Amino acid sequence: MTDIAIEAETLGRRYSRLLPRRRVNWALRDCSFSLPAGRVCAVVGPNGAGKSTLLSLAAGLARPTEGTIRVLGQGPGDVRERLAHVAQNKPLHGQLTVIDTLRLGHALNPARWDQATAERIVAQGDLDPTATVRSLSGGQRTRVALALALGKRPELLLLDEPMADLDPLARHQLMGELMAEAAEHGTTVVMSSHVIAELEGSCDHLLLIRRGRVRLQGELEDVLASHTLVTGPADASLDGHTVIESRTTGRQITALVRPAGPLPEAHEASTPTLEELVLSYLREPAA
Amino acid sequence: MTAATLTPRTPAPASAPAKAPGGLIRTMLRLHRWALWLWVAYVALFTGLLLWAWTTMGDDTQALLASCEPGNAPYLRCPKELEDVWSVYDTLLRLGLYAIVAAPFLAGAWASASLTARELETGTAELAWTQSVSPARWLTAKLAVPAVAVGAGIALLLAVYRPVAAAGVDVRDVVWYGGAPQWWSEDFFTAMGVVAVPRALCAVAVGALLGFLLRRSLASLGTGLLLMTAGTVTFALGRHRLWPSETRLGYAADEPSPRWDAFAGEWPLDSGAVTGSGEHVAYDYDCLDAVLGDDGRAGDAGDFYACLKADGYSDVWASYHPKSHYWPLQLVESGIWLAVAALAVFLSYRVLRRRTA
Repeated sequence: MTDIAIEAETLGRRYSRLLPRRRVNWALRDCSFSLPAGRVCAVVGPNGAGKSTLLSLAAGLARPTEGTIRVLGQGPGDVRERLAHVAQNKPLHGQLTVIDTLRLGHALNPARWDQATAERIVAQGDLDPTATVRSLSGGQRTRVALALALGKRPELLLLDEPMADLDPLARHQLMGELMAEAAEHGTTVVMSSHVIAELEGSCDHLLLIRRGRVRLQGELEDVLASHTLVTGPADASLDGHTVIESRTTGRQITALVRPAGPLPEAHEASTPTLEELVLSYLREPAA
Repeated sequence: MTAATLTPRTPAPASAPAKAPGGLIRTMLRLHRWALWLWVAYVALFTGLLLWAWTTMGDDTQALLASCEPGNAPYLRCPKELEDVWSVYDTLLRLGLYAIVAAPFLAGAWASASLTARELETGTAELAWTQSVSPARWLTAKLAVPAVAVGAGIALLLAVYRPVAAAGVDVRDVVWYGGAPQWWSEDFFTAMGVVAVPRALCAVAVGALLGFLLRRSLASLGTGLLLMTAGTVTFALGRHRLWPSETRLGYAADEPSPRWDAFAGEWPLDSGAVTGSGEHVAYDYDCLDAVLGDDGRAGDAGDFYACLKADGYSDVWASYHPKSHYWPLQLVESGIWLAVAALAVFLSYRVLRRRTA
């Protein structure tokens, strides 16, 4: 057995339309990375960076235009049974009741279905199980979608912006439940988000995508440790260090750097937060 | 921790209910529950109306029919009640006929809007494809369930329509002398044969494919109805080419006569004159005018033939389909609909295979 959940090599995905467009539209290009199993991986990037495309490819909902992607050691189509995917818009059948939706999950996953888990997730949400999905609020819908995904007892859970339409309280609560379930069963979670706050404290691996390319990846602790946030006089040189982003305020400069050695004495150095790190990478001018 | 995570789990966790809530087929039935009930109601309603029509042709009506007396030949003088009965029967039968002709359109409209298009539009298709069921099996269930429901429903309507239509022939011949519907007319051709079933199956298959290609409910619905109308109209206009027609010559026949019109039960197609060299050409019926008397009745056939000869023609011809071509025409048309349906199904699987891993 492998301890790699997702492995991609020069992965690329281009969107083709019925009518060809003048501009070739690569959603992902030349992405190589590997995400470890049993972890909570955050896929971070601005809107349109290719996060959803990446998760779709991993879920077997699209074919790579180039390169390969291996999920749980096999092609995505071969491990359909072992993974769950919750798309950004939380697609559910509006005409079904919550109970019927869970029944659908059972019928389509007869070998793995865990009714108790699914029911527990729904029950914690204080929603009427006989209500149709159509009548639910955004947050309740998300809960049902997650119940459907977790009821499958997946080894790999792919979540595309799972908490995007939730209020902070519901987000905190649902995230807690999700993490508890994942920890209990050792589920690998790969979660895309642009709400960095919801990732901090829950994820331990980071994959940063920008303009369809992998910009940064690694264990969160390592990534944070390898970067330094420095503040110092604007005229001091940071030569020799990789400057991710710098901002000058008057005579002061604030920069996120990947130090190559000891930093100049004049600078005040601190470990960046995840948010500072991600924002710096997102603001970094396009290469 | 990771090694333990990835060992395959034992199937069927203990917490799962003992009874699985049905498989893919049951899921499809549940998802399209409303459409299914509407369809059942549609078939039941019109089957009921047709059976009602049948009851109006019972013993009472036969007694009325028997009481008709000879009148102004070839008409019979019949009780007024017979006409009333006929008018109820005819209205009900006509409703059944329309129901059969409309059914493939309804099936096509539903399939193109709802079967795959809506699922792709809302993303629920992707929800299904990330369950343990492969997309190909999902599509198989998507196609099989409506195909069986639509096919069985229309087959039932057709099976009821035929005997009910036959039950009223005696009364029709009396009440509505010479008003028999022609077997080749679009509605009657559809309702008396089998072609409505493959037509509806094709509508479902093409609807599913359109959903895949357009991924939008409304666009798919419009295109589906447009294609269905185009197909039906094409067959209505060109159906006579589906089987070789027969040609009859006027004066080379056993009973020579200048006739272009078909005999009873024949489907007249085209007619014209035969030149001296034996070529069949169009003809402007000049001689018919020449030999028509002032009272509008045709003159002597011999005069007509002489007139033709004077114009350089040797005979007249008419092409037609005899009634025996009814089933060959039905079967060829059915075959074409089914071939298109098969192509659409094949393409749907291909598109699905190219889209998903």
